Amino acid sequence: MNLPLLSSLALAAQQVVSAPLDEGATGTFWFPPQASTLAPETDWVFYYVYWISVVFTSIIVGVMIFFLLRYRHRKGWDGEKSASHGLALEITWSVIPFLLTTVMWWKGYETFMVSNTVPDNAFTIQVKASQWTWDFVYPNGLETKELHLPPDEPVTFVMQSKDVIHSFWIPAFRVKKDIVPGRYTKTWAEATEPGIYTLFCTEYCGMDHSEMLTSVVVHASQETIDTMRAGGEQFKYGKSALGTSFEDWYEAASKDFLAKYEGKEPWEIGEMVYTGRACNACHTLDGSVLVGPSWKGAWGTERQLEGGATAVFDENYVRESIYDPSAKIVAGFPATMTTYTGLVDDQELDGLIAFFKKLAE
Amino acid sequence: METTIDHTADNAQSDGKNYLNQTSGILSWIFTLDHKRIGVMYLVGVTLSLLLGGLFALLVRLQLWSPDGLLVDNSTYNQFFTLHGAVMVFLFVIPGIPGALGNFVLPLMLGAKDVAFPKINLFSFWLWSFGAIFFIVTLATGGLDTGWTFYTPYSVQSSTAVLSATMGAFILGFSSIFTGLNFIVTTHRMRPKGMGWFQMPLFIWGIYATAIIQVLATPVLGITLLMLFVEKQTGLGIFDAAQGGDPVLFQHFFWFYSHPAVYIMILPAMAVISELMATFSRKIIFGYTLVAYSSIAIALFGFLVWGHHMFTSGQSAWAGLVFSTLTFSISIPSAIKVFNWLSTMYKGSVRLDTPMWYALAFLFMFTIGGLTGMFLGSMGADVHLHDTYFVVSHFHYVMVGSIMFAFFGGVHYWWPKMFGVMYNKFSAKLACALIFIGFNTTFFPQFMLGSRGMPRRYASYLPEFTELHQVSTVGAFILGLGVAVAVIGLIWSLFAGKKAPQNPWGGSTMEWETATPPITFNFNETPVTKPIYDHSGLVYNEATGNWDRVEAPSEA
Repeated sequence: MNLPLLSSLALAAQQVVSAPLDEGATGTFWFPPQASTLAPETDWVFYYVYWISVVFTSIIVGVMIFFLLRYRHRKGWDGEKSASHGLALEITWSVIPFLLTTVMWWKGYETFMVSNTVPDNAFTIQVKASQWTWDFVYPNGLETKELHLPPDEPVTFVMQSKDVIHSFWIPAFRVKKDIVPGRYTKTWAEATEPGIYTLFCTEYCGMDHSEMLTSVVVHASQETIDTMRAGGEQFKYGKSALGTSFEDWYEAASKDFLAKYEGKEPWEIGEMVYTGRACNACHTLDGSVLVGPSWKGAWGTERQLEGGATAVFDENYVRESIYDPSAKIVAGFPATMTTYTGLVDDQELDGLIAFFKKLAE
Repeated sequence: METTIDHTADNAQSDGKNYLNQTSGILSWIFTLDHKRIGVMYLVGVTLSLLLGGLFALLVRLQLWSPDGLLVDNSTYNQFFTLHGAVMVFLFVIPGIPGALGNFVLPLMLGAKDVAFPKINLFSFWLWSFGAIFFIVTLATGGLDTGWTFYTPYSVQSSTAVLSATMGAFILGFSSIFTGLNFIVTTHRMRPKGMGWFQMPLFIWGIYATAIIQVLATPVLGITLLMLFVEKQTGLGIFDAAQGGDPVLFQHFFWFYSHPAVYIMILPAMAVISELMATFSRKIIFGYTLVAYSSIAIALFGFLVWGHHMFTSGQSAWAGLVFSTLTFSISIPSAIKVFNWLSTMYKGSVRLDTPMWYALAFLFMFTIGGLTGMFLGSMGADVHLHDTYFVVSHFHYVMVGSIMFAFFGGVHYWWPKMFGVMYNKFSAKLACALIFIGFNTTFFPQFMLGSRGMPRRYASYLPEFTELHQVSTVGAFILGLGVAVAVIGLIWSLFAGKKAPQNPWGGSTMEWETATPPITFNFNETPVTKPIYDHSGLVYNEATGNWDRVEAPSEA
């Protein structure tokens, strides 16, 4: 993974999120730019309700002000008798809203079904959400922290959560779906406008919920890139991403990623896992204590467990603690770690074991 | 017409003794069975809760002044918004109007001496106080950070004070059930001679409809919190997918209570507004019968819409469609009420006293709160707007713009009856204007924030949202100032207010026939039921500021 590139992209995304590549697709008073096929449909429903709301609010406020001026108690006006009810009137103002809301209801359902009906055989990206980070896994095994998408092609997101409920939201796409632990949820999008957008977690998921966001890079097509190059136009931001087609990016990134452990010592692989899997968020290497026990000099020691038992920090202990973390809890620490089954493979586990031994040297 | 005896005069006699000074000493309040004193104690309790919840609201808004968070780290911010939400919902919005105004006014409106079960009423109040103190202490010391919604599995995983907070909410729930039970029985059994269901003031209809929801829905909250308790303590696996449970099941249970609870909050507010519109327009509420039925319709439909909180949760599209349908159904009775309130002013004699200011502001903001609910009821738009500031703004337009305004409108309306003093009208109207301006400045920009892409419950945000957040924060401080002016103005009137007449607004319902403040047992003799909202016999007396009844009331 090329971290400097990724973080510079994230920075660029924060600065330009409302001004993507195509000048025509900037945000409006109510909305961020429309960057997916779903966006115009969602916005249609929104504006339908919106204009009805504007009209009704105007009528209600207008009538209220008129009545206030006309029927305010003052010299010469002390009210007049009038009907205490009126069936025709009451039926009218029940039926009209009923008809208007029927359209909202049906159009809303139709649009929902568009976002809810995942296309067959689309390019599929696995979305792995965990507190408080996103991982995207592409069909060939490439993993990224930012989401890269081709333009004008439906992409299916198969999503899973490692811990609590998260929610996947790309405002520019108008796509949102909760990610519930213990099951896969799916959604899809077809990006239409190249640019860099933001993906947010929108289901409260604990301490750093507000930092659980990342960039969505919609690449320009090779055709667009060639046309722009020929016209001498500059790519404004993140040219390494936007000036590259999705296909080229995918190939290059995969090559780097899949070869990341090539020629590395096992303990170096372990160290990469330590930072790459964010073990360092809870476990230090210098003996200080965060959420979990420090790894400093842990190898081979006897651990005092919750409930009085002890265990030796050996290969099996490491394996169990990674795949079934609540089996043995070190005394004095909370049982908050969740399993890394499916996230740490055999090569990486061997790497971690080597890393522990290295730390104890 | 045969001349009848004017009972009003008799009931206005109080020979200097009233419910406030009949007995004295702290014990006479702690052990009082008088619904009026219990109402006053609730008023103090819920107002303190409002101020506490408001303080956390200001801290939340201050944090959001800058994109990186102005004040505190993420965990502390998460505790701020949890405290704000939990205190406001469980301690102000739900118990506010029924507890304070319902307790004080309901028996008076029925010409009764008290509620049906005065001892249960007192028990309910002390349960509420105990629950409230327990809840606040827990929140303050345990650092609850789950949001007021306690969603699993985060709440199961969180090491903060989830257990004791749910216990607090559990206790508060029982208080709510007892109050509801009391009001149902009181409405059924204690109506005076001649007052059929359709001669009842709409306030009673609203409180009655609320009480039905309190009794039927609150036990579900109790059970849900109990399940969460057991889940957390023993790892039973009800909500844990790894053990065959389902985290989304919690959301179903939670909203099965908490959506009806929205109607526990708004129906009493609507009930207050009906009284204000009638009195200050000097008219019967237009389409009275339909308004009464719409309260019941809202109460019943309110049970069937909970799934609209879960359109993006992965529940089936079919379930979504059903819940969307029911959600739109409930919008119709709400719209009917607005049109009827508005029509009540037609050919009326509209007086712009402070409570009417609040009522008209309510109409405006309830309209916005209701209409923005349509965006969220429509599934396609909700997918984009769910869990954003659009939702935050929508429900604040309902809970603050509507419910808090109705609460203040009601408090200003019945204040002279409660304490026998008039507040300063200038400062009261100034407060109303400040709250109105502050409120809209705070929350209107939040609609834009939400649809433009700002998720809720964020301690920090992208720089592009800064301006709207800052406008919102400025608004919140104006709103806070307005609330402070309102509360100080009311308290000041207790010491410096002019003595209030028996019926300062020309109200036609029975609570205006008793002395001001009322005597301990409310009426010397049971008042005679008159045609509902008939203002014809009441004439304003410039000299005393009272609305004198010049014609003997005709029996209904």
